[in-house]
Amino acid sequence: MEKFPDIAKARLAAQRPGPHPDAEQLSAFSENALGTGERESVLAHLATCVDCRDIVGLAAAGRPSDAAVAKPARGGFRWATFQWASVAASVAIVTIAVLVVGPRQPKREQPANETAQLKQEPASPAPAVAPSESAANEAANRAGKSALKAATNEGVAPRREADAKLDRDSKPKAKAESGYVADGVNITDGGFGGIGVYSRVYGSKSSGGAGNAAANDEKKQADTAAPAAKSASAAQYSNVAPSPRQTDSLVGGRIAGENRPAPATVQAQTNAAQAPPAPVADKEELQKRTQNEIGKDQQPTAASVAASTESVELSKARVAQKAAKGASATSAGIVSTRFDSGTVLWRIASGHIQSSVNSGASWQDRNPAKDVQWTAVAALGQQIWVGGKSGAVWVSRDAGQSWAKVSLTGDDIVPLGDVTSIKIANPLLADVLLGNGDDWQTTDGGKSFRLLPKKP
Amino acid sequence: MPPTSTFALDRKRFATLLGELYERSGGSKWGVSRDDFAKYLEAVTRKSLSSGASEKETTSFLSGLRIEELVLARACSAGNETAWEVFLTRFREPLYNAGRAIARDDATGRELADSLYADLYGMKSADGERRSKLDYYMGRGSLEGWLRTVLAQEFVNRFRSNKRLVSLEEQEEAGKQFVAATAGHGVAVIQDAKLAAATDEALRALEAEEKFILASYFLDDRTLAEIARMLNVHESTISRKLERSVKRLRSEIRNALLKTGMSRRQAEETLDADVRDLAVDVCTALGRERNLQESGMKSFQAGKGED
Repeated sequence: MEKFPDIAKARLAAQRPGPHPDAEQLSAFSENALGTGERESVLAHLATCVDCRDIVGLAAAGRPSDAAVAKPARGGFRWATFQWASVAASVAIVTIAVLVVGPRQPKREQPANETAQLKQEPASPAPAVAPSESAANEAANRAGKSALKAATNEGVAPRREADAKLDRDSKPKAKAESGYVADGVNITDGGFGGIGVYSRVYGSKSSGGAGNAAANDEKKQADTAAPAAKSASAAQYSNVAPSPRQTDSLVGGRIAGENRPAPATVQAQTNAAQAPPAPVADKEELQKRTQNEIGKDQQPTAASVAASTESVELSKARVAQKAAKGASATSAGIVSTRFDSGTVLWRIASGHIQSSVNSGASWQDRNPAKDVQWTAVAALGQQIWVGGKSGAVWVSRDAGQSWAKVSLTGDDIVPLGDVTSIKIANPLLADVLLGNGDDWQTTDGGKSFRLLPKKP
Repeated sequence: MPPTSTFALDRKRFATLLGELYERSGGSKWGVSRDDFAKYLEAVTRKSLSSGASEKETTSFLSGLRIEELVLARACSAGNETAWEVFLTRFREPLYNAGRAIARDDATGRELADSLYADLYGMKSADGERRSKLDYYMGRGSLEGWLRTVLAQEFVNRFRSNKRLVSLEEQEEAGKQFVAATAGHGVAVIQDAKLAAATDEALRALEAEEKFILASYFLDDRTLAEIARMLNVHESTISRKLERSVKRLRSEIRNALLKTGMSRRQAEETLDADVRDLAVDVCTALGRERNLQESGMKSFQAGKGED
């Protein structure tokens, strides 16, 4: 605040007050009960009369703090109110402009598409999809035509029909592989150790260091694919190991992209879903096959293949993200993590540990012990960790050839919760997470464990 | 400063309103007749409304009155025992509380509140009529608020009268004999007519509320919270208004000084520091300084000579 001039202080004090208002007026002034004119005259007197200021001040000090007092009467127009009115008017104009002029995109389209894709995914590795292939192709063709119509502004309803058709066509397969759907949902749940081939085959997103490396390799190869596919692939692979936030943005991007009429995309999605890749033995083979598939399709659909792969990936990533959030809420028996150890894939299916040496074409039970309901599996290199009900943990250091039981507490007396997930950071450091929230950590490869304090 | 008017309340014109107000007042409880009630309102309007008040203004004024409390006060003034019981039940404790808050001392506050009762009941005047202080209550604000104001008035009057009677010993105990000359805060003697005129003009240009805030803050040394409580607004509102008022006042004075031919710098210096207010004799001070230097020099030279 600027300095109040001494001269002003002196002149203000030197002003002579007029006749004093009576107690009635002063009390009415204190309670804002005076009219505007009378209030001004009392204020003018108070400005010059120290005695009346004292009286008003003392009376105000004696007033209970909870005493209700009317707000002071205000005369005339208030600019402050008008300023807010102008802001409100601006907001209203902008809102109307957005509503009237803004883009009208068929937002309802997205969920239907995603549903169709999700239900197609699990069927893809199964060899028994041939019977429905022709029907699905027909649906895809129809979908392509419908999508073309969408491009000419007739789009939403036909496309929904196509998606619904796809949905219906893929239902039997999805039903047949319902357990697989659940597994697919949880594919990234325990994504800590090994990763990759499996997730790349089906375009799902996983997290983990090894997965990142594999994904980066793949990105390089994807860059050599058809130019049309390149941009979509880049978008796909540059986010192979996204944070949940990144995944959100990807999905958002996908939605935005999907809103554009893309007839070939729909067809390619159907092709990708109905003609799944044959099981491959290793990464190189997979990459070659993917590239061959892109090349096998007509050039105009090359971008669509990439886009469809991307869409499948993104859908999976989205679902996986949701599953990761709610994994602890699901029953322990459904919780499954699958990692590859070299070319061997591992999974939990119906409480059994299964492995596949042919990229998921066939699965063999590899239970280390009988009468144990298995709930979690993790792999890092040759090291396979499996966990089950009541804190059962077994480890194999030779890719599942032999198993050794691991005791978290050093004995079997203390009852433990079910293993919900296992995280392997390196061959010596691993965490076994139980359903009751306990985190048992080993730093010597499983010889001994210690219970970590719970995080607040 | 009550408005002097010759407003006459037309009973026939406002008969309906008067009837409604009478019902609302509960005057029948205290034995107040409709005619008495109308007389009360006539007295109130005569005192508070201007002669040219329209029907709408009159209706609005009458409707805004604290009718129930007004009738209670008049009933007490008339000596109605029941009304006094109600009055004491309702206002004894608030009066004591207000007294304590005003006097900032329990005993003094209680004494202050007790002293008011005699005035409220009314003492016989020279003509033999008893006149109660409650007759001055017009119902424009709350009866409790009015009582607080009357208490505050009484306290200020007592303080003033006591202030004149403070003994010399008390003054000495309070250290009054060591009080410094009021150079900064008090009313300074202003010699510069130009500056005084410019300041007066600038003060006149301020609104009444701005002047009230300035006076309360800079002359009475009240806090922002106290001023806010007096005006029933938020403290931040007072802070904002105070800053704006000071800025505006300075600007007005500066502009007025510039019009008199001063440069901007001169005007600023005149505003910020008025050396004539300082009780310092510059010439004497400078002369003493010179004498000290000279004597120091002489003693130094003398010492040197001794060496």
